This record gives sequence, C-alpha cells and structure tokens, in this order.
Amino acid sequence: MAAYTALCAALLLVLAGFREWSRARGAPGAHLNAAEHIPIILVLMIVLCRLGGPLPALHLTGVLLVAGRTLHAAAFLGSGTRSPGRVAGQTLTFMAYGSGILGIVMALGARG
Amino acid sequence: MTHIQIVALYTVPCALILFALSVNCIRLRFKHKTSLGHGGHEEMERAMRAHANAAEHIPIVLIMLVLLGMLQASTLFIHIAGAVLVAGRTLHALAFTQVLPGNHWRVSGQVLTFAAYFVAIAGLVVSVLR
Repeated sequence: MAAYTALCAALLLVLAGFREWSRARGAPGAHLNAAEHIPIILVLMIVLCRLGGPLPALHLTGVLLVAGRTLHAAAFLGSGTRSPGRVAGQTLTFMAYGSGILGIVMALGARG
Repeated sequence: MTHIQIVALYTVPCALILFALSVNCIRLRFKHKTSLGHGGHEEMERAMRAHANAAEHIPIVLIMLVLLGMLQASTLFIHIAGAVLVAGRTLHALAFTQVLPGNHWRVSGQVLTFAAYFVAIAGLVVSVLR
C-alpha cells in the first residue's frame, strides 16, 4: 500500500515538474489528468486494505494504477496526445477502478 | 457493520461517479475529435469541469471518512457525511452535464458537498478532542 502510494506521489511530483518547466503542449493536461485519477484509487486501496480484503486484489489495483498512469503520462508527454499509449494507459487506469471496486464489494460480501 | 465497512459503502458510489464522469469526457473527446483541452466546445468543457470538480472534492472528504473510521468516531458522522457527499456529487454531476436542467441543482449539489465537509470536519474535531 505504502509502496504504491509512494510511486504515485513520485509520478505526480515529476508531472508537476514537467508542468512548470517543460514546454510540451500536453504538460498541464498530463498532471491534471493524473491528479484526477490517482487519489480516488489510492482511497479505494486504503479502504480495501482496512477491510482486510483479498491481497491479490490490492496488488492488482496498485500495479494497474502505477503502470497505467506511467504509461499515460509517458505517452501524453512523449508521443503526443493522440497515441496508443495514452489509450492503453487510460484503459489500465479504468481496470484499476474495476479491480479496486470489485475487491471492496467482495470484501463486503465475504463479511456480510 | 464495522466503521470501515460503512466507509466502504460510500466510497464505492463515489468512485463510480468519478469513473462515469471520466468516461463521459472520453466519449465527447471522440465525438468532437478533441485530443487536448476543450477545443472551444462547450459540451466538452462542461464534461471536463464536471470531472475535475468531482475529483477536487471527493478524495479529501473520503480521506476524512477513512480517518473517522480509523478513529472509531460515531458512525452517525460517517453515515451523514457519506450520504450527503454521494447525494451532493450525484446532483452536481447530473446538473453540470445538463442531464438535470437548471442551475439550482448544481448549486444544491455544491451546498450538499460543503455540508459533507463540515460534518466530516466536525466529526474529526470531536474524535480528536474526545
């Protein structure tokens, strides 16, 4: 949990830096988009963690989130705003929502 | 129900609201062929602001709910703040994307959101001072 949070925080910091100092057209968008998706998924993960939910679901959500956001940011800044990497990164991010929500629903169901 | 189970009950709909608002932005990006910013399309700008506004308010209130759960605060605080947050964000999202016509829904949604902040903050203050 802490490891995934730290990686996400580092990514947001890097993107904030790009926003300040890079002239890439997509730099503000890359940071804004990351800041819109990362916190809610970290909250889902904290709740999943405290619920004592399935550990694989927690890892899956974390890996999908970090991989998805890294890919999205790299594609957005590197190869422009119309790139397959951006789509793939966003798809992984949505899968992280799915796995986080499903994990919570499973944990709630298992405990009744 | 344990404290964290109650928090989970309100976390899931909030995540679904954010998910839906993000999907709505992407749908309009394809419709208006706009890959960056709003490209001068009002509908696109509305969708982006609806998502951004939700993403600006939901996480901090949920973090407060998680803390209320961890501090074993009265579950009344968690239920009220959680229910008011979900109701407020639903109204705000529907009004902002013009599913619900009229500005009053948007205003009501924002008022409910602020009410959720106050209840959660009050709950935290009470639990810390207890």
